[in-house]
Amino acid sequence: MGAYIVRRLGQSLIVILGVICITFAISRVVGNPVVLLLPAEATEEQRVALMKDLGLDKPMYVQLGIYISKVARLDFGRSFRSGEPAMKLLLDRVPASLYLCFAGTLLSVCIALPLGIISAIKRGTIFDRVGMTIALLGQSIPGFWAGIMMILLFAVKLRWLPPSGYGPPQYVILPAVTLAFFFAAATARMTRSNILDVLDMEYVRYARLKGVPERIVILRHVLRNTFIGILNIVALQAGLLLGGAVITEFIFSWPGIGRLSLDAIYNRDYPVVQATVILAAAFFVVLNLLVDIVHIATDPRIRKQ
Amino acid sequence: MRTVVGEARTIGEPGTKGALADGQRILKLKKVVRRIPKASALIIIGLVLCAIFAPLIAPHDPLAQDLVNSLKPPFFQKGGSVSHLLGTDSLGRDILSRMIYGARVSAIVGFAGVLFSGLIGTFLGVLAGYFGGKIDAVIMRVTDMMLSLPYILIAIAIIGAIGPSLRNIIIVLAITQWVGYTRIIRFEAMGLSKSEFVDMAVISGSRWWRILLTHILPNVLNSAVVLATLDVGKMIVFESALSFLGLGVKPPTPSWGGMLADGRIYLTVAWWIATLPGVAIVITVLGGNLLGDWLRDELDPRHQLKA
Amino acid sequence: MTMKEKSRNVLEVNNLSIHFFTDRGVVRAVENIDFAVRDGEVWGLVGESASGKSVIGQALMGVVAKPAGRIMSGEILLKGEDILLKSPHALEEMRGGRVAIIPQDPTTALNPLLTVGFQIGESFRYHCQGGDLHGEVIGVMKTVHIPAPEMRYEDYPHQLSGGLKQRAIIATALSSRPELLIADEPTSALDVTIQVQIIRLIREIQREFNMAMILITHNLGLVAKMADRVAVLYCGRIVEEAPVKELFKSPLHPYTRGLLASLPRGDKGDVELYTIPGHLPNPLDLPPGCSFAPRCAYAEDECTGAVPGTEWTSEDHRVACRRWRQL
Repeated sequence: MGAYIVRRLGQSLIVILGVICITFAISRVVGNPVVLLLPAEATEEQRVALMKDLGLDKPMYVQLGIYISKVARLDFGRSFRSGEPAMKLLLDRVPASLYLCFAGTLLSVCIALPLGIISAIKRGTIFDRVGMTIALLGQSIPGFWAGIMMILLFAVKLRWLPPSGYGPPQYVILPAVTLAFFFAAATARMTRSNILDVLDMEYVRYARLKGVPERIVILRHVLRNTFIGILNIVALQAGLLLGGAVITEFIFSWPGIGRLSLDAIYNRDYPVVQATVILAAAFFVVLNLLVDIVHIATDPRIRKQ
Repeated sequence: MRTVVGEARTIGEPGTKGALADGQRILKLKKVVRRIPKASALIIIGLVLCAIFAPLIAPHDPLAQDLVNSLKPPFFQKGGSVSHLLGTDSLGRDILSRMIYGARVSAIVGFAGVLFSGLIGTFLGVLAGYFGGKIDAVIMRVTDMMLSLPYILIAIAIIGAIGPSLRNIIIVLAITQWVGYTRIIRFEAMGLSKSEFVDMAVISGSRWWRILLTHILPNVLNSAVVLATLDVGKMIVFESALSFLGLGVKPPTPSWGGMLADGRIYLTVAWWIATLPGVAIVITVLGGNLLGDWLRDELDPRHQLKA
Repeated sequence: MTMKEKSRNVLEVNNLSIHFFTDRGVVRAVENIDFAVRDGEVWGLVGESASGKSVIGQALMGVVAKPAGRIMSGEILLKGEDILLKSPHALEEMRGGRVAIIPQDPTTALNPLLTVGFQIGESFRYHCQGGDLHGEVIGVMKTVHIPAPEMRYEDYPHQLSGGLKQRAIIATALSSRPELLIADEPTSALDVTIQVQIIRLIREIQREFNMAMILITHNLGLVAKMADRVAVLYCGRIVEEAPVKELFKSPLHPYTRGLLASLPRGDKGDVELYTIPGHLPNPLDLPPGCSFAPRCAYAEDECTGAVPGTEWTSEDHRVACRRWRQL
């Protein structure tokens, strides 16, 4: 088991390394940052000097090497706009994003899991059909439009909730619901499908044939065996979550990493963009790694080898 | 090779003598057509028709500005008129016409995006599944890498680099969405590679690309098509999202996402600019999803066991 | 049947019909089945796949595959009580308690995330009040000769071999001392060498506890070794029933004869195996009259007219064929 964990760790590191290389490549494709930093009237000498300063005169692979070593020390360079270290800018915004993502995930899970589970258990009944129709509608409605519609309804027409901004709890409601929209529906459908697969398993049937009461069959045999599958689903949706956060933060002027990265794109502030992408990827990779570890810890088939 | 596949399929079916006679084939096709969900098919056809015949259907020029008639509500609200059935935007442009032309963008992105991402993803999935080993490992690493990157950030980074345009959106979508196919196709290809008729083909000396083309590819096509149909909606939503953020189709070309961005600013005074294009997106995506679901159930091999 | 015989019946099935309503038509899986199983006897039910034998096995546990399956008629009397009239709760109590089943594949029947000991004890937990659960489980594991039961209790299914897993399943079935034991293809999923062990075990247990047992299988050899009486099932109907020795010695129904003729025989050194000509009819479209008629070498016009009724040829031998006398 220990060997497996080490292997997974190694894989995760490779993935993160790959992400770093990709973002590096993209940023170099963009063009010479020197052009952006200096005013148009700058002289050739100034350009050359700046290039040397930023280390842009060295060959690509050397630049890449330097960059990787810097990233390992969590040094993502300085923002082109403000000159502050990119890492610091990010860290300032992380709490707001975590707050939003946590709220959104909680909401989404609280809706999606029960919906998926009950739809699966009551397969074929009216509950199942209604539940899945709701999920289908949810998947077909783009989250950002739902967000705008909710602003229209709750902020403009009804004036119950604020349309944007950061502050006391009522400010997070609309953004969290919007964010939840992005993946609650898909989670519900996948959960249902996961549970249906387990329901068809022989050991579930046999448990019934042993005379185990139905609700115990569900709790002990069905839910226990779907636990890790559902965990995987939620972790997978985290990827979509990050994407959704960007748009949600944009709509609601939420001071999080997503908005920071968008602004950075608009302003061609590449160090910040790179830092955001790498950090987001690292987060996702670590999350999946944790899920894998939980899997190993709970599945006796892997544990006892 | 063709005979091998054919024989493998008719083994064990009592009474059949090789391929179905043509008459029976036509009868089966008719049965299938009868089962197609009408509503969703109609929606997708509607989308395609709007896209193709936009100049003929749209009542106004989508780019024509008419500042006198700006911010007019739809005809069913006070202040509206039938000349602009769904109202006008801040520059007096007809919403209905812009939505019809917007269908063009959505249709193109939807189908082209799905086509390219599907091709890449299926191809890589087949390679990974059939060859296994190092090739599989590399492709899976790349897939994991792509999956760990939030698509929006990649899209933003790339579009920020090469500029917003219809072509670039399709490129970005193709690059980021192929991963959705690879995992599933790889799994199927792995199963197929172990089957008997592939073994027979290998024994009889077929080249690997031949085997891939005649045995593996046709059999994963089912899943690929289902995934593709289900993805059309996703592509349309992504395009709207990017256009919404200002990274999509360049204004003044109408796109549903762009109209939502316009409408957001005028939300308090003109609800229709942001609402109606969204409704169009929802209906289209719903149609795509329903069609995809139906297709998946139709092509599910377990369907045949319902005797 | 005399009144005295009736009172010895653990199980009595009368006129049972189970149909499946699919969107391609109605499948008459089980049609007008009558049989009885006496105390302490092993009753074999022989049939090919799709003969309806598994459906019967499930129905005896009070299970009908939903949503397509429906019991159209009949009664299943367990010591005189019709289980088809029982409430779902009462059926839960019955399952695993008075009636226990040994399913076909022990590997898939066990939950990989729970210990073997726990799963064996699950039946006991819900049927027998009080008592030492752990002790009971160890005891029953010993009865089925699982070595080192204390250790095995804590093991997970994947750590057990196929044979041990099947023993665990048998232990589960035994734990609540059922009145009726149903074995549905108990050896099909096992290696040949293990099959012999398991057959011996089941025979030993059946004798020791004098349980009534229904053996459902397609394997005539198994039936020969284990059963007291045998019934042959074809397309949902019982076509012949007799004590084992008699069935093998003088089979009356053409289908039974065909089955016995297809058994490979070591003595004659035959190279070619006999197979019954033709193939199983489409369950959605059963032939009129006798279902076996299209494949029967002795079929006449009267055979396709109406379904042949059951005739008793002697005290305990019955056959469903119009022409048995002439054959």
